[in-house]
Amino acid sequence: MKFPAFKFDFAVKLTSFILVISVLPLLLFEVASYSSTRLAIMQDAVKNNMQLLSNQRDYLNLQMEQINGLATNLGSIEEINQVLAKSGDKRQPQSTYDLLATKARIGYVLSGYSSLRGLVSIDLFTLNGSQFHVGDTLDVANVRADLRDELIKITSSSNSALVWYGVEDNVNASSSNRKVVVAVKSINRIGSEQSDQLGMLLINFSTDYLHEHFSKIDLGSDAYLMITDAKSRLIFHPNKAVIGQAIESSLSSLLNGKSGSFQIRLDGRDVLLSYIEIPAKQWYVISVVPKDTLLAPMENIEKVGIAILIFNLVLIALFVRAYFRQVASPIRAISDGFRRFQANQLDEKWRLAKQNTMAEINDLVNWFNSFLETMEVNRRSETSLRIAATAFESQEGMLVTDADGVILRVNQAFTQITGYTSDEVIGNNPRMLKSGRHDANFYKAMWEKVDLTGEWEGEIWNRRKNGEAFPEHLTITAVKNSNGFVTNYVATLMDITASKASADQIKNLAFFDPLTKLPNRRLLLDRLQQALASSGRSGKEGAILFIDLDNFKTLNDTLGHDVGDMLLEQVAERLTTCVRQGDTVARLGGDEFVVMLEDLSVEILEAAEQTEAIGNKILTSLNLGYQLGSHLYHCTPSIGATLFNKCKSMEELMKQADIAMYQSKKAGRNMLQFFDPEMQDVINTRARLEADLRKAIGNRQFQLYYQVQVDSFHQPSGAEALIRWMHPERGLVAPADFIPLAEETGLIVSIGEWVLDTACAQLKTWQKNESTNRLELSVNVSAKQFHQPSFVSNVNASVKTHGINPMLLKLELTESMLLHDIEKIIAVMNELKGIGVQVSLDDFGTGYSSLQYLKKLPIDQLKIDQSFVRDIATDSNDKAIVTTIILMAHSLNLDVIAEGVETDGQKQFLIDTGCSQFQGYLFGKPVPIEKFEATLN
Amino acid sequence: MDLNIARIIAIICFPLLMAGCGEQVQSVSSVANKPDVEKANQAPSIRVALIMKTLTNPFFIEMEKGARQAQHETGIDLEVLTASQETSIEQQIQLVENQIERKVNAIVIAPGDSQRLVPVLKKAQDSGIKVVNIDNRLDRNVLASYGVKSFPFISVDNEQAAYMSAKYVADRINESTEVAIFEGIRSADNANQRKQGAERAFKENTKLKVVATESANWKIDEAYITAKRVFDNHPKIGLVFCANDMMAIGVIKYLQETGRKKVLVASFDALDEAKDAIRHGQLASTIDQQAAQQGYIGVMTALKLLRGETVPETVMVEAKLITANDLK
Repeated sequence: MKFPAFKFDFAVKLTSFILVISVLPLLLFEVASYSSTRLAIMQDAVKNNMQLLSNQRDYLNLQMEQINGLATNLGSIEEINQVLAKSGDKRQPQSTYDLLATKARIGYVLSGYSSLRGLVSIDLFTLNGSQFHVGDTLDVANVRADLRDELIKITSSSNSALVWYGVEDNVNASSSNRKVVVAVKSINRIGSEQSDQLGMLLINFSTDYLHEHFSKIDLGSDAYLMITDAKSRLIFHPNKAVIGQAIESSLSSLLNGKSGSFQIRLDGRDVLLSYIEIPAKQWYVISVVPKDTLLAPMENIEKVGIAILIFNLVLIALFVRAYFRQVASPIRAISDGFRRFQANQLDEKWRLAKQNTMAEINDLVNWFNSFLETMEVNRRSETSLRIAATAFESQEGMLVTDADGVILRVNQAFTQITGYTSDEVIGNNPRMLKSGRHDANFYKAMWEKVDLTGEWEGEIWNRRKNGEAFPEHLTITAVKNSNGFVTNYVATLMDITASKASADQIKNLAFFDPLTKLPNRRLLLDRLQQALASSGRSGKEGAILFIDLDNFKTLNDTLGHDVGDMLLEQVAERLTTCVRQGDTVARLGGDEFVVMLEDLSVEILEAAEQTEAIGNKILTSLNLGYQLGSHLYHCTPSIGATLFNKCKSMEELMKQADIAMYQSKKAGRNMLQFFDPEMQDVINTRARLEADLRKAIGNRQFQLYYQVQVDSFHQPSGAEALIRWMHPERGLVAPADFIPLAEETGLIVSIGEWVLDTACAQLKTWQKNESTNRLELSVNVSAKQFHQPSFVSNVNASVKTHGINPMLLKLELTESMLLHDIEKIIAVMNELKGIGVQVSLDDFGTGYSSLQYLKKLPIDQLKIDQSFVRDIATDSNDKAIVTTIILMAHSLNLDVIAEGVETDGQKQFLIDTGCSQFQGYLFGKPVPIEKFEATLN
Repeated sequence: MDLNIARIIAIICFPLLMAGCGEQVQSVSSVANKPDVEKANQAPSIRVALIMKTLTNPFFIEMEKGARQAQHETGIDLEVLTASQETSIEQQIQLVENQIERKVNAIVIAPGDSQRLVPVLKKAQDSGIKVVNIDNRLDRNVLASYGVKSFPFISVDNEQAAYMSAKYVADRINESTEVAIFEGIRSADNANQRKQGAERAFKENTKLKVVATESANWKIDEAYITAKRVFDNHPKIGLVFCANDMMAIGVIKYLQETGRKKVLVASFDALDEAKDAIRHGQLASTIDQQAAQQGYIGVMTALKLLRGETVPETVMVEAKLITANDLK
């Protein structure tokens, strides 16, 4: 645990103070008592040791006294003296017997003393080298001669006193007692006054025996005795191995006088060393007692002292700890809290924990926490403001309005996107950015969604200050107050011009041919799929046209691809103009194009005709010359077509169209070929009919038939001219079989002109005769003919050419013609009225005719369609319609004629209703002029 | 916080420690050359005690030499112990007792008596001490009665050797001659064997008549005194067999003192002193029973027992007849 410096300092001061007032006196007391006790123990130990040493010295003395006694006894044995004297006498050599017998006898004597404990051996040496030996070995051949001689020398000058030589090697080298305490004594001739040395008595005393005794002396643990001889050699030491060795001179020099005691560091240990001298020998008995052993009793005192001290310290520690936990630490925590608050290092949720302390300090903690609370609230609102400000200046354009949509604020990004500065927009409505690309409904839906869900998101086109419209991704969020009322709207907008452009680009690449900008195969197939599905639902046919340019490869090879590409572009343009809205022109690649037609007729043959018509239009268009740069080029296409015809497979359709295209190429190019043979037949037949029709006028194959019109008195009032085609091979062809074709091909115009002209010629004929000069002649005018700009002048020309009374010529227009551009029709009709011709409205009731228009039209007659007339007797609806038409005509002051009258009943009803003119089989079928004139008569 | 308190304790305790260390003392060591620790702490070596009969017979000195040879070769701890006299059987028993107390590993013993030593040796064996018998054989019957099968025994064939020595002198006698036999300690088996060997040789020569069979207990001085008594009783004795050289030397001393130069003496042990006597014509024959060899083999056998090896029940050392011919 790491504490700030302040705390550490305080801890030291506080702890030191407490230590000084409590521990220090205790400590001083302990030290004083310890020291005095120690001194007493040491003094006591010295006294004890000296006593012990004195005892051991006495023991050793006793042993030596015994040896001394032994030596004295042996020295005074006469027999030994004699033997020595005899064996030492060089003049009188000894016999083997004497020698051996003497040895044996001395042996008997000596062994009587050998029972003395600790005795190793007793030897007698004569001056001439004989040896008598009793002891631990028999082998006396191996004698240390130098030692022996030295000992003899010593004894020669010592009179007959026993000399303690100290610890030495055994003179008998064979002995297993290698170190022995040696005592020697001179054996002198008995009775001789002067010292007449015969030999030497040598007594070896066992150091092992001494060891056995002294090692048993207990001085305390690790304490031991030593005994040294005059040469400071160890007679006794607990370690047998060092016996015989001299002690260090540094130690031996300390041993002076009879006794002493001192403390020393011996062999690395603090010891109390005491010694006592064995009188007159300079031998010392030494005791070595480690201080540890001596002071062992002190341990308890030390232990108690230290225990008290530790107890004291623990108490202090507990007190200090309690102080820190209860007082200092809480205060520190609060101070830390302030510091960290100042340094802004606190988590917002951080609160000071309740402290285990006094109530006063906890109050402080609570107040600190509530302070933090307050600061936190302040800081949080600041933070959210700052966040809002930062967030507001994002890369997205942002604008904030009030609840009424008045702009309050915009950001920098907004200015960059729209070009408007904040000054320019604040106070305005965001409507100022409108691009005009979206209608009112769009904005309505948008705001409805915002009101409903509080949010709208989507793409929208707006307009920059510089006028440029641009797409943006817009998010509108309603900001509501706590009551749920909208206070503001926040809009974020992102300029997606770039991304939209690239998206378009991608889409184009994916679905459009980059050269011609036409849909590519993929888009074609997609649309084909949809078209097939749509056709399946509606039943309306569709078609596929495969278009291949003939000899395109040659163009590419001769003029190059750039020119080829120019051709393809122009072909694409022309194709696009040839088709209807909703049809598809696609480029598959190379010079292959496909046109897909939809919403054709439900009837398959009719659909084929529609397809053919468009195909022909394409053929015509593509056959026109192309300006390719400086080249004028002609090009023909080959077209293969096929109808959906309930085929469900796109692939199959494409294949069929492709096959048809190749058939077209095989058949000589520059033509349209259907995949289905039946269809091809239909087309072929029609083509022939068209060709025949073109020739029919020149070949005078048309003929007019006349059907009589009568009044209520059954008197002929006129006729309707009806065209008939006398085909050289087919015979009479009904108008229904060629009129639509004529209308489609435009031949109707020339046919119409022929009919008008022929009718005028017939009127002229009739005018010359009194019986027929009042007859009126009705001529059908097709819509196409009517819309010819030259129509009125043509009519006028015919009237003038034939010099007829125009009042007798009645032009019948169909009601369906009135649907488009009614004003222009009225104008043309007025011009016709100007000429003087009558105008009749044919097939009245089948179309949609507004009474308003009818009133405006300058017509003279209504012609009730035969379909109403047919069921007039039976169908009450038809009755009502016919009645109404007649009443209406009367109210408009128009004549009414009913056609298709076939029975008297029908005629009677019409007469009863007020109709005055009739036409129908009841009065006569359409017949050639000769027959008609005959019936008049 | 703990750290601080530790530091403070240290500061407080410092004077206390200083008080304890206040006295400056000299520092010395006790012994200059500390013994080699390894040597000092060597595993306790094998301790073998060689217990012999007396320190006054050179024969046993030879025996010790052989034993010491074995000691040097093997590094064992060898203790050589003797009684003071051949007859000090009680002393010898005491020596065995001491060794039991000392817990030696093995005892090699040349028993002074073939019967009296058995109980104490049995006791030694029971306390785990290996016992090897040399020189003088313990009595088998007594051993058996104490439940001891036998101790390995190393010696010479005393009967045969004595026969050889006695035969050598017997063969030189052509006329009727009185014979005296000086025995060893009668309760010793080897003494008995030697006597029998000598008797066998003397019986083979019909001219010989054993007139005296006395024991001088192996001792030189006792033999000298006994010879005086024997020759006083039988002045015509012309041939003497002594069971050991020491007794022979005692007898020869008497013969020389009394001028009986023609008396033939045969003996046993081949001591150097005996060989000298042969050279001087004082002694006719002796037997070298290779005491050193016995001592050596005795110790080695003890070691083998300690190692758990099987040893032969009896090892007979070759006994050699020594005459003047052998010493030329």
